[in-house]
Amino acid sequence: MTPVKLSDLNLIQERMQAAIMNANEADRQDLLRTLKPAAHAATADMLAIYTNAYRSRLAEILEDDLQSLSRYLGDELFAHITSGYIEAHPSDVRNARWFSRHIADFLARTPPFSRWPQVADLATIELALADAFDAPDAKPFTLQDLTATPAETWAHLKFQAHPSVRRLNATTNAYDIWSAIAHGAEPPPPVVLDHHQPLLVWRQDATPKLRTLSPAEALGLDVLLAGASFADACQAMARETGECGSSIDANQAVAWLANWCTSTLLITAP
Amino acid sequence: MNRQHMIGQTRPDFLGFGLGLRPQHYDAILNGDPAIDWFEIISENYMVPGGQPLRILDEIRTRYPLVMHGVSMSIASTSPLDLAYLSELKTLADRIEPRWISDHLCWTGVHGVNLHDLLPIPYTNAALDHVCSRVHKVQEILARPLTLENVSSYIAFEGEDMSEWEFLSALARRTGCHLLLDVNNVYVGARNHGYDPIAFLNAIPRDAVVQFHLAGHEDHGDYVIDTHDHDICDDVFDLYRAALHRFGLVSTMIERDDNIPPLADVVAELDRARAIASQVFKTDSPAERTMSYPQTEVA
Repeated sequence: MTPVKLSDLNLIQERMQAAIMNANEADRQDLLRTLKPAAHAATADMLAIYTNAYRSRLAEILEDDLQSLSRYLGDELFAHITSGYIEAHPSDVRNARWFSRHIADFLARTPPFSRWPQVADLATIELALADAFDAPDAKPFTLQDLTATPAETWAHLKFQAHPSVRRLNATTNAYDIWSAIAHGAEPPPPVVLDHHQPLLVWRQDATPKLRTLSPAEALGLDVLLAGASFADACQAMARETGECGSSIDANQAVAWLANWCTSTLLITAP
Repeated sequence: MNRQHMIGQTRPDFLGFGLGLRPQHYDAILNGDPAIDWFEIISENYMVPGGQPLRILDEIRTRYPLVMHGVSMSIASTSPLDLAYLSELKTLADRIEPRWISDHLCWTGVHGVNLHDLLPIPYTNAALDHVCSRVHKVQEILARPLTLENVSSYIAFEGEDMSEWEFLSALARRTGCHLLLDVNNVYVGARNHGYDPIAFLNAIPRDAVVQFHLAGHEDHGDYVIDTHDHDICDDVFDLYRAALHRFGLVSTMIERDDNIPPLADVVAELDRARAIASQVFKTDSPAERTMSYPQTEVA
């Protein structure tokens, strides 16, 4: 028998990968010709163990990462998502933790899911919560740190976002849908909003959290996290609310700052 | 790193009877005092930027010896070694100082794709040369001997130059790598491919084996799938007994990855492994668990 060369090993791996990923008949037949007959079962059935395991393993990863979306859509529709995503985005990551990272984009541009924008919004929320869970650690600027800082210097304070912070803008009532699912309640009918719903995802202690923000609080936080001083953030908030006819006074801005510190959203700017 | 220096390294100490660390058991481990001697972690689960997984791992490592077990090194792939992955693996190892680092004798994908499975290779001389050269490189990067596990497999290739056990033995001999003998995988392979599991055990060099895995599987009659979602069956415990006779007391742990029961149930299963080891070595004193037990031949 001719010795098996490394080039053959390469070919075998390419064929086996193609057979597993695509269930491609030609690749599968080529591969089957290189296999020993199985001891007690059909060799093709034994090869199918790998093909089935590939799809079910990736589907399981998606289901774990998108538990709310899977509950929202039900098994049948969610299976459409998993099979479509597995085809469109074969895993190119060593760590399965990041396999789902393209799912929100995939849902936003792939029919029929692209016609239901709350689906991509829900996926965005779930991925943000997962990212917050194991985002890098950093020492937060706490409420204690704030109170230890002379109040007359607060206007000049500058911060960065804690690495777990994600600021999202939902185009739909995905937050209400997500909350209903989280509480085991019937989700409300989907609504496309006239204005984006600002959302905040972060990790407090070890727990990922999600809440809504008013437009004024969202603007202030965004300005602050972009590197501006607290005074600049206050001015931006005042302008925003001024257009709406109500005003954000300094007390409200300070209350928000205190809350951001308590929630460990902020770290000291370098 | 001097390659010759690594080859001469002795086996690590016997750690006792351990479990795979799973998030479902974090509370029971941290708030209880379970009879577990050590933990094996899935390396990739902790190759994350921060947060709870690493925080808990830092706490557990102050109480228990840890071993790192990876699933995506892809040592037998024909695609280049992923140096970024190896660097991350080394970073985690520097942080938690595991007793050893293991992965599988398998490939997980080519051309940048990861199939997230442990796929078998044909056991040929060319494949052996290829894997040996990659093990040498990995051992240099990680600055320690690599430990490699035999995988469960459902297919085998025509035109092989040697058996799986001959391949593993030659790999250990040529690279100085250690072996993690998965007793369940030997059982699964024996059932699926029709070989004698005792012949497998008897062919593996005694000094190379640093760890045993025990796990459950799904029995379909004509074939067996390595699912890690069932209790360990009697046949696998019998094979474990034979492995103890062959290799002496080797650090033993149970892998449970799906359908995970409460910690107490897995600890009870681990106690069964302890009891078998006590019978084989005629002792129940943990203090006497050393590598100096006489190694008896399997009849």
